[in-house]
Amino acid sequence: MRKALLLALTGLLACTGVASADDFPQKGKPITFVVPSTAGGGADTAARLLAPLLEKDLGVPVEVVNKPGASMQIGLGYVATAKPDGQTIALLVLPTAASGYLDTERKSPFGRDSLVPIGLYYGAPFGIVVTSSSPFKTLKDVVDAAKAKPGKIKAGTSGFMATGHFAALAFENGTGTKLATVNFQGGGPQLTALMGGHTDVSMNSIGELVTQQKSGALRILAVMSDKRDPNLPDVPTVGEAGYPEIGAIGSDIGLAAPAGTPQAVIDRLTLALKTAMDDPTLKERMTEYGNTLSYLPPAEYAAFWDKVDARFKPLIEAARKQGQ
Amino acid sequence: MTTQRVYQITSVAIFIPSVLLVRGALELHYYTPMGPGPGFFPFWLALILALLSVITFLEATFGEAARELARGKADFASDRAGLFRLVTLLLALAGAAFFLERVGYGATMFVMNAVVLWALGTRNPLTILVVAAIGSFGIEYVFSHWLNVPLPSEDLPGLCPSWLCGA
Amino acid sequence: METFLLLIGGFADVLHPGNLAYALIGCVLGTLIGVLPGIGPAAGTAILIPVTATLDPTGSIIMLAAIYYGAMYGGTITSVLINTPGEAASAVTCLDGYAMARLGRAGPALSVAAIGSFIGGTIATIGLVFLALPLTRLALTFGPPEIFALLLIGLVLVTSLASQSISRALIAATIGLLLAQVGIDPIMGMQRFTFGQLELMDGLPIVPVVMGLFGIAEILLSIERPLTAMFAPPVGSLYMSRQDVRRSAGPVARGTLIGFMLGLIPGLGSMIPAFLSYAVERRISKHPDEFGRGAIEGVAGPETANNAYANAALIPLFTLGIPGSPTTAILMGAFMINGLVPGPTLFVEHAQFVWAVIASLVVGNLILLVLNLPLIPLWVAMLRVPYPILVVIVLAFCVVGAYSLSNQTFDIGVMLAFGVAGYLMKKVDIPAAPLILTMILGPLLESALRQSLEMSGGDFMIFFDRPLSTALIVLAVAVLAVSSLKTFNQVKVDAEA
Repeated sequence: MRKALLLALTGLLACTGVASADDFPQKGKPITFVVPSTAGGGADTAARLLAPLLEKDLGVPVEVVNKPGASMQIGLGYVATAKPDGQTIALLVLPTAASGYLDTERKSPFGRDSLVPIGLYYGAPFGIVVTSSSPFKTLKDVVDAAKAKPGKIKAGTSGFMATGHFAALAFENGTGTKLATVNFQGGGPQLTALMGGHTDVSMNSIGELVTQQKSGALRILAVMSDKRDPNLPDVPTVGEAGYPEIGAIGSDIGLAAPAGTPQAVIDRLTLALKTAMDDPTLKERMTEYGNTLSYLPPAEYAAFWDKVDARFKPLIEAARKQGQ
Repeated sequence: MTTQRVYQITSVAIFIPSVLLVRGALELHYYTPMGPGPGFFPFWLALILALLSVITFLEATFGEAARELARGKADFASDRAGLFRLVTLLLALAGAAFFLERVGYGATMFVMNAVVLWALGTRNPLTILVVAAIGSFGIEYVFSHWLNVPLPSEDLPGLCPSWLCGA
Repeated sequence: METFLLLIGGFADVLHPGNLAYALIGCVLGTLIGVLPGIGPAAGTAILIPVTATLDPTGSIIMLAAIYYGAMYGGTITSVLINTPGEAASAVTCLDGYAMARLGRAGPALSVAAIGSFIGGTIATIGLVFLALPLTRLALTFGPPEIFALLLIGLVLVTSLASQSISRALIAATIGLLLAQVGIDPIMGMQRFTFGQLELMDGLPIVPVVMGLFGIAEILLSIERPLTAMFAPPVGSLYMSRQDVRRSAGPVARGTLIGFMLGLIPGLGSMIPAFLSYAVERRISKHPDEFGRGAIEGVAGPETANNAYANAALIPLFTLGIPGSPTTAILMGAFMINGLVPGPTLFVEHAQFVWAVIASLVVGNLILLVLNLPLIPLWVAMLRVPYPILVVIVLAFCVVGAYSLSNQTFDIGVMLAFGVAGYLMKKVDIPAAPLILTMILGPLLESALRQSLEMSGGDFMIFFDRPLSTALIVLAVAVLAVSSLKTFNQVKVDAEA
């Protein structure tokens, strides 16, 4: 034990030297990969599949650390204020991250400018779904029913101001209808209520529906995206189903670093992400979960991010109004 | 201090914040077209709490058990040494929470453990050293190596030898 | 018959030495991680997912499931021995388990928990095999209005956690409900009582609160006393007496039923079945005054309900592909990492795997029992460790546990603050258990109410339009009436005495 203490003291004295951009990644210095949601969730699974591949390319350990809470603001706030040296990076989930600073009620600790993009990783579009025994066979059936009985068709979402809630609002705006939006606490209760007939339709991330779709318990009426989902070739997009005004809604997940991180470091991380995403097993697994790999380099990712902000700002304001 | 007095103070200590909470709840939306708003439950709950604290005050002051309570002696910090142990432990814990992410788990907990052991009357330096080390560097080792749980350790990497806490 | 054959096949797979070893390792790891305060089943399984990632799918799921129910049992050990629940569900066990330990009856408390867990877990697994589909359909009839009515019964039963004074129990319950108001509300997404603290936006984290109110408070109370009088309970018999067995039989049977039924309804969490079982036992007991002072029924019922719940919560995962609790959500993640998509198709596409996992639940529960019964003397011997050393170890684990829940020091602060609160509450005779219960019930109740009203467009009649919710509400009113009557009579008896 005494030896350990001695070693500890010498180690303390020897602890000098600051990393510069040139020698990134620094051998033996682990990179903290912050996932702003709980372990075991969809985003976490995606991060844990990616981490070993980043590790392989960068040659340093990449540790996934979950910092969940406050609609991802705790984890992202942590990264936004971390030292901008590339040792701390975040999994950035849009639009959830953006709702933090776009919604004035939340007093977010970070803004659009506190994080810089490394690259887009994947997208998970939303779908409009009913049970297989539902009288609604097409998206048009739902719209017609909502027009006939305004405010009576019950639409389940996974939570107030969750992406599904925005999807329900986009549906209302795009079709000129009114739904009875029921905001659950999480996807489990939301899907159970749909299957039990307590709600009529549900807005879900396609990835959450893989199982039930396969078993035939649920029917996905339309994908809220510009193009069909490779997993669901027979399901039309909302545009194809006749309601292009609903528009695309989905989660888009990428990597980001604290603002001020040297460009060389960002470039290195972008390269690692791009290399990792070429891995065939990663692609296979991610597709299986209903996710679409969609790499974008930093510049395009930044432009994409701005587009997401513009798209969701009015929906967030609409959600605020809806409660009152 | 009598038990009765302690009970009365408790009632007042609950009454004041509950009144403040009632006021705070009034600033929130009370009702919406879809039923109770965010301020509905805080308002009524705080009001009920205020009422309950008044009831317990009256019970302690005029109730059937009041006379008995007036004779009872409050069981607070029996002696100075007990109070010292209590405060030391609380300070040690607060310090640990403060330094954990700044200094790292191992070193912080080593100091906290040693302080607590000493405060609780352990004087044998070897015992203090060994137990404090097991409760700090030992736990850190188990968590970071066997369970893959990252504990904060960045800022002073030298304090925990790299063969023990390193990657 | 076909089911039976498939199950036999499953057993053949599990009894394969490799899989048996994984179940064993899982039980050991689960128990160990459950023993660490703060790291309950959910955090424990999440932490150990990478450990299992290298195994084949069957082995890895068998091991994770074993970790899951191992952790459920492990939480009991610290609740009984040092009044520090590892998670909210074991908070109920503290009430009588720790009281039993103070009387030198830690051994029987741990035995009954182990045996009850085994029985509850095994029967729930048998239910999973033979009744999964019809029961799932039954569970689906529980929409938000029914869940609201069910939670209402739980809230009404809160007075059964009262120690002496009803008004003090009500104060604790109201404080718990108020604490549950902290955070972004589920209705309009407004911040309530967050004081601008980001960490409070999701509400107060329940596990650090539980660890503070029970574990830290208990440490504070005991170190305040003279050093010589510090915690050194007598050690009586290690195993259950005939009377213990007789008194536990009923609670175990009822606990199994309660845990099993509630496990089918997603989103309730494991504390509610444990608490409900406790409340039921106390209500129907012939000697309710013994509760809180070391009644073995108060350990047998909740601990059984706990594990029956854990195994039953797997039913929605298997039959619908819907995770009903945080832990099953993590298990679902593990399925997915292994390329298995849970849900009804799993029975068709990976029948061998499913039945092996189900058989492993039975075998694992048995392993847990034979592993834990002989270990009881060892756990009890832990109380022989000099108290200062015990305190240091417990504190160190509490700090790690609180921190690693969401990797933030804020949670350590919460634990500390509620430690002080728990200490003060003990001094002024305000019970902690009702506070914890209502703190868990509160947000569920408010959300279920809101969701029901969102379904009906703001019309409260929704609760009476539906037969099941009407029946449950009537039951809640009846329970309230009976409890008030009982309380009233109690007061009268006290006054006459």
